Amino acid sequence: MAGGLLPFIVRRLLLVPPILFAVLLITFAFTQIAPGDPVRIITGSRQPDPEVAERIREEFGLNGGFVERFGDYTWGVVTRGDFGLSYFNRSPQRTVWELLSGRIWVSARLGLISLALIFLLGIPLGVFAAMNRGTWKDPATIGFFMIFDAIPTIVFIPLFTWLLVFGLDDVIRLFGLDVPSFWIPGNAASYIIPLTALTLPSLAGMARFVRASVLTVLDQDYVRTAHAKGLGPRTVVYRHVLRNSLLPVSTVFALSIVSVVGGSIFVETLYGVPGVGAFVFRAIGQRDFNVLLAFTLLVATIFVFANLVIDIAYVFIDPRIRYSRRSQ
Amino acid sequence: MTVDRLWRVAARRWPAAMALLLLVTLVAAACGGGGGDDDDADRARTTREDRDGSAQAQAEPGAQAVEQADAEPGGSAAPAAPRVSGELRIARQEPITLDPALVTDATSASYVVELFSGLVTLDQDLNIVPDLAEALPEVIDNPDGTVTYRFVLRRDALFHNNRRVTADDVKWSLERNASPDTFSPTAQDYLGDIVGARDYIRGRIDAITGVEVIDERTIDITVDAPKEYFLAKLTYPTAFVVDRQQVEADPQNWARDPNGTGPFRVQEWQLGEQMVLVPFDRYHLGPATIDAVRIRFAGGAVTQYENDEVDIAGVGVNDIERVRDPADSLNAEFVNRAELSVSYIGFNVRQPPFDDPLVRQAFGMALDKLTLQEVVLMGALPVAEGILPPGILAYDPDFRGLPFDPELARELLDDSSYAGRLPTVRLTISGLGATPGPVIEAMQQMWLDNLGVEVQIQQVETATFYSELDRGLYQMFNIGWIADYPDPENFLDLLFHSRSLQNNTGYSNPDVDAILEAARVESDLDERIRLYRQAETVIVQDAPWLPLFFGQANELVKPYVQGYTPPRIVIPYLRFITLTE
Repeated sequence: MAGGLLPFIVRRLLLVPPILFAVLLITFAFTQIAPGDPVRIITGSRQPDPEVAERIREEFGLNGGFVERFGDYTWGVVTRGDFGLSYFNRSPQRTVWELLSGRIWVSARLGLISLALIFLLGIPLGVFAAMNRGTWKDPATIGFFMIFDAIPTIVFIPLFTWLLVFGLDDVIRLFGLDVPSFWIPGNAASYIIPLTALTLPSLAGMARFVRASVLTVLDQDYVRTAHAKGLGPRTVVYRHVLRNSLLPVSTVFALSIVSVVGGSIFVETLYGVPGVGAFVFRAIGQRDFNVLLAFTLLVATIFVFANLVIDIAYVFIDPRIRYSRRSQ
Repeated sequence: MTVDRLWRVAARRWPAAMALLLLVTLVAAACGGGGGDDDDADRARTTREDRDGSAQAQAEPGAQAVEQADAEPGGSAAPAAPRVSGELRIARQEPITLDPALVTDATSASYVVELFSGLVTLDQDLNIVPDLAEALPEVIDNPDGTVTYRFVLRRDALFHNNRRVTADDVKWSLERNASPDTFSPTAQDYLGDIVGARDYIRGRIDAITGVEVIDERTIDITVDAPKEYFLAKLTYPTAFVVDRQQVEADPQNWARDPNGTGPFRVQEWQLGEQMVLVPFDRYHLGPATIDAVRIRFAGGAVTQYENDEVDIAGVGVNDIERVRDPADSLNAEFVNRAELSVSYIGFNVRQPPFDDPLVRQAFGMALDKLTLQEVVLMGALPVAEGILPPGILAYDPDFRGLPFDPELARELLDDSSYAGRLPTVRLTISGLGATPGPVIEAMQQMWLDNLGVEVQIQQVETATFYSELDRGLYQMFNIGWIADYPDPENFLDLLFHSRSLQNNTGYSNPDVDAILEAARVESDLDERIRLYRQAETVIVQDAPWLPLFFGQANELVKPYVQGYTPPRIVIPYLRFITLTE
């Protein structure tokens, strides 16, 4: 079925190291030209004694030339999987991985649930809108969810928090829930506000994407044929329209995985979620370069492989697609 | 490539590109709004730790996490509902380090002072009182002009693992904290007065000659000159005692669960989420009575307080008017207390146009601080006439700084060497907000109205701000200073002596240097006060700074929390708190 798939995969895999190397090089270069001094952050608002500053610089390997330092760093990553230490969290000295892993897990849990909700709710909404094209239901559906897309997170979270915590708290409590006004570790109700803030604004986009895709498919000859041969409307939608219109949707899914791991700076910051987005944002301010390098590399890796997986998946989703050179 | 393939490429790339665009827009938007709020809170408190903490420094003391059980039904309806749990819930940012030698930020210091202790400490009124020492030291004036402090340790001072603290522990800790291998950014400032310490810190000698163990419980610390503020410096974490066995066993990671000598120990530290401290029940100054302190690393807002998620919360500018209203239900739980901090506009006196004192004075007299305080800050902070905040020795309640006098201000500007040819003036502040905040905007307007000078505002994020400030790149800047220890030396000498590293304006006045140097070694209290007041008067007239506001903690405290007053600087206070049922 998949002629030439293996050589295709091999070709793509061979491209992965150079891509990641380029990402690392560019990010590393950025850390070099960024203004501000990590040592100054380590010593706080107090100007350090020059000799002490020099020793700290030495200790963290901030002194060598660009090539030497980049070489050392890359060598450590490739040979030992060593992403270095945090400049900022000394004594206890945290490794980059220790700082990132727990937070990535928090962000990923939120992100995955939200992603699932976006697809589970967005796809039916899009299909509904497409099937009702030309009636008021189509613009009403899309328009309603566009409202949430249009409200910035920084407005949505305080408003929604106030609503759940003070405005409607008596109603909410009927469902046995006590929603905290800020993230509380270990409290499952803490998920409600960030999940809503992550999911609602994306529904309109997903619905519109699905709607456009469905409309394209609805105009295809085979749909008319399916109708013509007497299939019920339900069968046509499920068997013919939906399956074909979900091909582009699967692409979006793969790419969304990246944002799942990356977390959301705004939602996390505003609701105090101990996730990776807010943390990395702080790390930028702290010039904790090793954290930034490791995080960038991680996201780039996931992005590259998500793309690869989706390209391979196309072969199975759409039998017309071939990656061998001969097929065209 | 085929057309079909191209279409798919397009379909695949577009969402990514759009997502990126969206992200960029959002970053701009959110930094703006979110940052702005933070700035308000920051400026209201104007303490250095808030500014340093991080870009997201929301960290008012305050928040706190509830066990599900506590938070459950009914709790939030009645904010003052009695608590049955003996656990105090507060919010504070996560510490960067728990190592006393490496602490530079007030957030980390606030944990360290509860976990460790030193020979002396500060009580709730900021008096220096004995801690590991059984009494304040005997002071011996040596013939060579040095001064020896003889400390005798308590018999019952223990590490958390119940090992007794000895004079050797104190000596080892001081030398470890000051060691070149420890890279302490503060050793120079806090321990540098001890004989031999400066050479030791730079790795030139193997021991601090001025620290001598006499017997198991007695230790002598010799200082290079009679310095009244030296004892105060020993209350700072750099002089705290650490457990040699623990540190040597794992120099990098011992601070995960430090074996200190303080009133609390770490029971649980969930990275990025929360920390639970529990009392050390054999603590030598009397153990705490609460069961535990649960510190969450995010939050602290009034909303959380109202929803009964925290027991203490900081009040920002946005809520201050409301909680000060006697009709508001929260008013009875509102407390405030002056902090030993001051916010100011600093001038770079090495650069035009602020190398001319007349220009600096003109800018000062064009500012109506009273209006800023009443209208913009809603009275959240007291106006600073001078540099020394109330509570610091030599603070003078009758001191008057540059008056608000727009006419005189314009005259001064016309008399200055930059009359009619004033270069573009830029005020640099640290922050990420879309707006610089109401106080800065109001000042900008006052300079325009009263002086006819259009001041540009430049916002720079914290990391860049401090390193560029060190290099003297800014014309004028807005920051604050919070006392490390309650002594005027920590403000006037540290920030205005021409040779001090922390003098970030470049101010240099030989007369002031001479006064400050005389005050360092003056042992007569009244004379010392007179010298510092004299220095302050000259400095305020020379105007390298325009002092703006003194810090003030504005907080809400639940009625069942007893024995708590907001600390004025970083001191241990958790052990005094009790929770009533």
